[in-house]
Amino acid sequence: MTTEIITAGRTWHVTPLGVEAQFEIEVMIARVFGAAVAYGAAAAVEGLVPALLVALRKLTGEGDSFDLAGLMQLWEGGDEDDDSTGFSRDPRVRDAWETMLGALAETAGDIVVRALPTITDRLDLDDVRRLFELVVIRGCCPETESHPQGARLADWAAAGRLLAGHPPAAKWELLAAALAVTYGPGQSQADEGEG
Amino acid sequence: MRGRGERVRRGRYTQPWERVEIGGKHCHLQILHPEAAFELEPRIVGAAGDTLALAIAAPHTIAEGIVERASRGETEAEQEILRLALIARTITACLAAMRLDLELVLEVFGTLVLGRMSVNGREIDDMADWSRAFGSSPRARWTAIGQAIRLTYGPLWTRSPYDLRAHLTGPRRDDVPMPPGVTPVGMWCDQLAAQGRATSAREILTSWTPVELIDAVEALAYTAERERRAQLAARSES
Repeated sequence: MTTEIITAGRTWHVTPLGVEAQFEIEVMIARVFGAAVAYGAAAAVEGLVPALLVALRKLTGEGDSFDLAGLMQLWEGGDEDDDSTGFSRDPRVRDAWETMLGALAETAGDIVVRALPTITDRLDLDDVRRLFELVVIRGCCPETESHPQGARLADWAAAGRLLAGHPPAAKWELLAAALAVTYGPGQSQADEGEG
Repeated sequence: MRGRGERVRRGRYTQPWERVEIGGKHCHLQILHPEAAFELEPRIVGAAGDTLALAIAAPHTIAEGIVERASRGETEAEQEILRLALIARTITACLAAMRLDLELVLEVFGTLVLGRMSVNGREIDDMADWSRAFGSSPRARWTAIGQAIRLTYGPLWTRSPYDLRAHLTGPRRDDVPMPPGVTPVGMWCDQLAAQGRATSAREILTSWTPVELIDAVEALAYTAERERRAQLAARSES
């Protein structure tokens, strides 16, 4: 099953990435964006618990800003060794934690998916080469006069010939559009019925 | 250990199946057999970091720690804020410490998920089965890995950290060289089989859960320790 995209002056038939290639890209992104995803996810906690902002305002008077870093520093001064109070068994907090973890998984997933089209300025050359090879060389079949139905690009030289004469941005547009076939909105649905 | 995408011979293992929900679908996941579980455990802990590993396997343990720390706040509002700050700090630390490696990710997915999962009664034995059931959703794939880790390692990591148990299943420390080809897990299984707990070491490695094996190994270790202390006591009395 392929999807047609039109970029760099021609139609391309794009095959969604296989599971191994998807894992490879996600591991690559986790390596490059790991810290950013971590801090983004931590910031998302603020959005998940808006009620706590109300509590913060109660505590800090009229302050509107939420100084997470300051709060974390505040906690650094706590007594780390005192564990005499025992564990809380409050089920409401557990529920909130599980809800938060679920929402975090969703948030981190969204960050990864949204990062894909803009990934190119954060990756090194080897990563870009590998990404282009996985997504374009292996997965894109260009329509040409000799192959109107589309045949896979044979190698980098074939890709270079087809992209010659187009602006440099064309190759990034092709990469982003081809990635969107696998990761874009509505592309992750299974073929089977729901469970 | 199976290679990537290799089909599994059904019926080889008899660990229990657990019902889970992944990608909005009702699924069943099978607990990993101890042979592979103990081989993968240190590598998973090393790649995820011990806090994230525990958060995946036993989120309640982390939550309870956060609640306990936050309870030191003087007012209810302060406790709420401390809780939020701790959650944020834990998430940041966990994700920043994560060191993912493609080979390990594929091995974990191939070992813990493929061949050990079914969706609506349909088995997920290889990458193609997975794609048919879940498409290209990254969330479903990573959730399945997390759920499989939780089912297999959750009970172990909750009862004791990996480092504490490693000496039971890890290298022996009495300077007695291991016979060639015998793993520490295999050595314990041989002892258990010799005691009549199973017909063979192979039966334990394929049909017991990791938790069952650790229970038995710990019981053996405690028995040995009690006997050693009794002998010491008897010797000192005489």
